[in-house]
Amino acid sequence: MRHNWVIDSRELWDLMSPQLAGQEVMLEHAALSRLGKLDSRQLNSIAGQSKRMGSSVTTVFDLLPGDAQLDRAQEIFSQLDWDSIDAIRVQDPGAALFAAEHSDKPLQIVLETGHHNLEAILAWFKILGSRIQRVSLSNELPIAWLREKRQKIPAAVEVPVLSPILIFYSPRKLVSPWTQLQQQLYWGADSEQRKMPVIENAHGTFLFYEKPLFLLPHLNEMAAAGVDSGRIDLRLWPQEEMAVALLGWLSDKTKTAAIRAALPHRTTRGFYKSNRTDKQFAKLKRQPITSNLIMIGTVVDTKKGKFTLLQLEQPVSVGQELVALNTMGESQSHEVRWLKNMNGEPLQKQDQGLVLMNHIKRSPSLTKVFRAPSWRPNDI
Amino acid sequence: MSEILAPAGNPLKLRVAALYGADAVYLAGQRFGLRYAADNFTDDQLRDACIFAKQHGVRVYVTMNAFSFDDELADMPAYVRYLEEIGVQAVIVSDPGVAHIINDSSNLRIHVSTQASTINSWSARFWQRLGAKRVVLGREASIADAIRIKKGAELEVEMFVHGSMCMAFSGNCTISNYTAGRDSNRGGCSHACRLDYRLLDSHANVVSTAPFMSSKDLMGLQLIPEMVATGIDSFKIEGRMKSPWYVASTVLAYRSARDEQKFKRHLLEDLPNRGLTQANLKGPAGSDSVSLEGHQRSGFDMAGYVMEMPDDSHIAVWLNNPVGRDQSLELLNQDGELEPLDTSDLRDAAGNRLDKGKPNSVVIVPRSAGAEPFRVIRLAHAS
Repeated sequence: MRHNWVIDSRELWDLMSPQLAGQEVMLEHAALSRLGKLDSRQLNSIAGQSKRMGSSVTTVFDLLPGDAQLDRAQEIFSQLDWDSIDAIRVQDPGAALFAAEHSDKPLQIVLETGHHNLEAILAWFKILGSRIQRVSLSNELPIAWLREKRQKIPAAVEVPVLSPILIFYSPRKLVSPWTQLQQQLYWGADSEQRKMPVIENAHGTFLFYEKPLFLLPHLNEMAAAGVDSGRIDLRLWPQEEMAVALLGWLSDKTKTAAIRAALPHRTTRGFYKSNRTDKQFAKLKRQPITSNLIMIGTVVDTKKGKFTLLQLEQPVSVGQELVALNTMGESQSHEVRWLKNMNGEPLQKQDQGLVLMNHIKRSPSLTKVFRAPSWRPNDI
Repeated sequence: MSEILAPAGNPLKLRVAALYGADAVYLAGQRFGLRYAADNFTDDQLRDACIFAKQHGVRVYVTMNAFSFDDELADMPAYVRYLEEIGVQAVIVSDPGVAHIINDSSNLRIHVSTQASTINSWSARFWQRLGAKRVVLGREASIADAIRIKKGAELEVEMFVHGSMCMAFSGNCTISNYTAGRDSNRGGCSHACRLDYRLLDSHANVVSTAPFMSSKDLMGLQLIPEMVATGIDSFKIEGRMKSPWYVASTVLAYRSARDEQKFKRHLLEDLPNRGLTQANLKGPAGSDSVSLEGHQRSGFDMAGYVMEMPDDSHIAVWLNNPVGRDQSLELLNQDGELEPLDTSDLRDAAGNRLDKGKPNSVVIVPRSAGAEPFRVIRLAHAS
């Protein structure tokens, strides 16, 4: 498995470049990428150095841009040294089409938001075909999914293996209204335990999960599943200690403990093993009634021992057997002994609207009322 | 003419939307949508909704805008064929895989959900190649962006004009996934952006404690004439989880602005809200678009709605809130006027006099001039 290294600034390049000969570097331009700090001159300079070191170079264009930003991108594109750049990385579909039209470089598509099914991933190939060199897939796809589906993806596959987890991206500036400070990194804390990194820049505000994604111990398993590339993004932890730890790891991939120790926080595997993020849904809402019972109507008022008022969806008749299912899920059998309209006049049958009937026990308002399974229209 | 597109979280809201003048509604079945906690529509209710909507000249769009997993896709072709058969006009999607399956399985129109964050003409063209006929623009797009997208992609363009807003690019927020274990893009959003956060600097000093990621609610009412003139195809109102009163008020307000250029702003300002902003419609949203309160400001509470008219002089009213005899209620008529409702003679459905009507019950009161089934009623004093 190859590794691709995010370089968002000159400082990170200076720290990491001794380790990156022969690796792939992803250079982030301040005007093209969400968190990049490089200008065109710096990017061209690092790209040239990388090529001379035998590294491959990708330019990151992961903004979600409006048309005005795409106009600006055209200007930036004209400033870049394309001889030193091997690929362009995009997330936005429009940026992808734009990049395909304004350059002849292969595209790396970031599909880390959504794209949780194979059809969604393959849809991009219907539009961009062989221009797609690689897709970067979501951490929300567990390793079992990769094992099962990888071979159906007609391009290289990348996943993040050591990275901050971006969980919120807004184009609005949300920190500067609160402070005159101009710091690169803030923290948003929703509790004493949870402090999440926050960055505000010209492109908006970015919130990261408290724990970095750390999958370095699982690289062999990923490679066996067909993952071609693992992304390493150290932008939040560019310390000397980390550079040393990475150097050791590059020479012996089992040495992950020093890297973990160099991270200032607890780490997470994210959804690498499994994704159960919709398992709680059943608890959020009562289950819809999906039985084959035919619904007669809904109880809209009741007076114990006196009456039940039903809003009808189907006709109801005196003598009919009903089943009432209240909002607690309790059922109650009921025989219709009398019906009256809203003027108090007795009825044998009512087709629609509101109808009064003898009281249905333990069936308050919003109880659903169905035909009893044994009842047939000819029974009346 | 630009359509007024209303939220219909359940069959009642569909009827209210139609009665107050919506041209189209968007709603969800029990699967593939994002508002998991809304009532939503069973398959039978969807069929009934289409019949009702057709009778009232209202178009029905069904949301299928969750990001789906592979194992869900097997059921999708049969579902979309059912939607086509019952007369649904369009489906709203955000997942390219879902779009592909719908194209393969049916002739349904595809509208690209705001969850796809389409904010440039190139993206719109991408979706056009996947078979889309309309894009619901990301809420980061301005009117000027919309014009450029419409011209550039030759697609219909729909814009949100009112309601709650994600602060993040829609579809790009996974706070709930990681902090609550609930997939926000499959209906599990925990609204973590509305919470107070302590904002710390790099030395761990508290800079502020505030809901700094909570957006004010969108209100584009004053911009409707401009949006009509520029040919925006659809004005979308957010809020399938909100009350029938909200649906009625917003539809009336935006329909009036579109048709008569009258701004019934009070109808919108009276609704519970987090503060109102034009957000990005005229340009990038500034710091004044952040809702410092986080929670919703109170407004007028819905009292209920007219269920039917048992005779010429009375109406049966479903109550959402308790209502006492002689309490002041107001009915919203078709012109957007508030009619006082006489509650001096409050009775139950059997004709017994009441001092107080309970929530989730029906009371009989004297009829007002503008009353007809599904007209909504509010308490006359804000909470």
